Amino acid sequence: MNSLLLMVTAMILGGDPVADLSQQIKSMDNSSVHWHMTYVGVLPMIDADLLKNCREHQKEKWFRNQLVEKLKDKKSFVAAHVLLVYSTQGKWDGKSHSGWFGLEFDVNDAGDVVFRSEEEQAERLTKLWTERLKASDTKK
Amino acid sequence: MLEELKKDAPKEVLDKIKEIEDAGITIIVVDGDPRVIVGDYNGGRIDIADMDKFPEGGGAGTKESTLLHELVEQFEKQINKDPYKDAHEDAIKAEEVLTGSDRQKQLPPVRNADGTITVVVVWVDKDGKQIHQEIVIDPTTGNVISVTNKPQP
Repeated sequence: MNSLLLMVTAMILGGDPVADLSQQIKSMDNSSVHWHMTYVGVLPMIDADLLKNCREHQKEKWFRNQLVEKLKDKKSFVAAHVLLVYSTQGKWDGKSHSGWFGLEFDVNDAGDVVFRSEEEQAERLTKLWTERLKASDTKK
Repeated sequence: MLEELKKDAPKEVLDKIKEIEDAGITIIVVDGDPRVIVGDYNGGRIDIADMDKFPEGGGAGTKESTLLHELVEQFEKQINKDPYKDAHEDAIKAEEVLTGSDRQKQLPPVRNADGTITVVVVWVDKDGKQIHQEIVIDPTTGNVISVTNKPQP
């Protein structure tokens, strides 16, 4: 009884980590990715805590489904793609795809990253990840 | 590190450094900042912890050449108002003068099994030997983990 009470209290005080992560993913959009103009070109970065949490849950179905849904939306497909590249497992050589693991963009004179045909890319990346995630499930 | 850079630099590089010093640019020096991967064009920052991972020599990017790269890039941005692409290209040219090698291209990135990202910069040294400089980056910390020069057969 005491342990149950403690658990309930902890959930009330600390929140549910899975629900918190799910909410974070729900609320993210392409502006959640920060593009850095670095020594080795343009690289995307995303909140480190969010990324660490995602890595913990990257094999779970709800997590993958939620990110695939975010890929379908042109307002969030970039964030979902970056999160999937950085959080899912296995070696992946980007040379089999154009751009950054399949994400194509340009940098304008103002230093902003501009994504090429967003709707087409959202559709293509949704297909790419659906197949990749399905293949990694089959390997298990 | 700037003194090290000046020590064995050819005259062309010394002239460029003097031009930068005379013009006066502002650079924020950080140490292991998660927002900076070697250098940050937009923020005008350089990360000495990342630069320190580069080798002293070896026909590809070095500690000193990365510093020169970032100085030139910021000079082009702050003084000549160059966009990133142009400033980055000028920075690469300066690096080539300093190292005596040709920084040819960058291969598409590789995601490693441990979640790090490897970026390969292809160099050709003064003897015509191709070197793949493998730069491993941790996306959770924005830090350069290692830099390895791999001469190609």
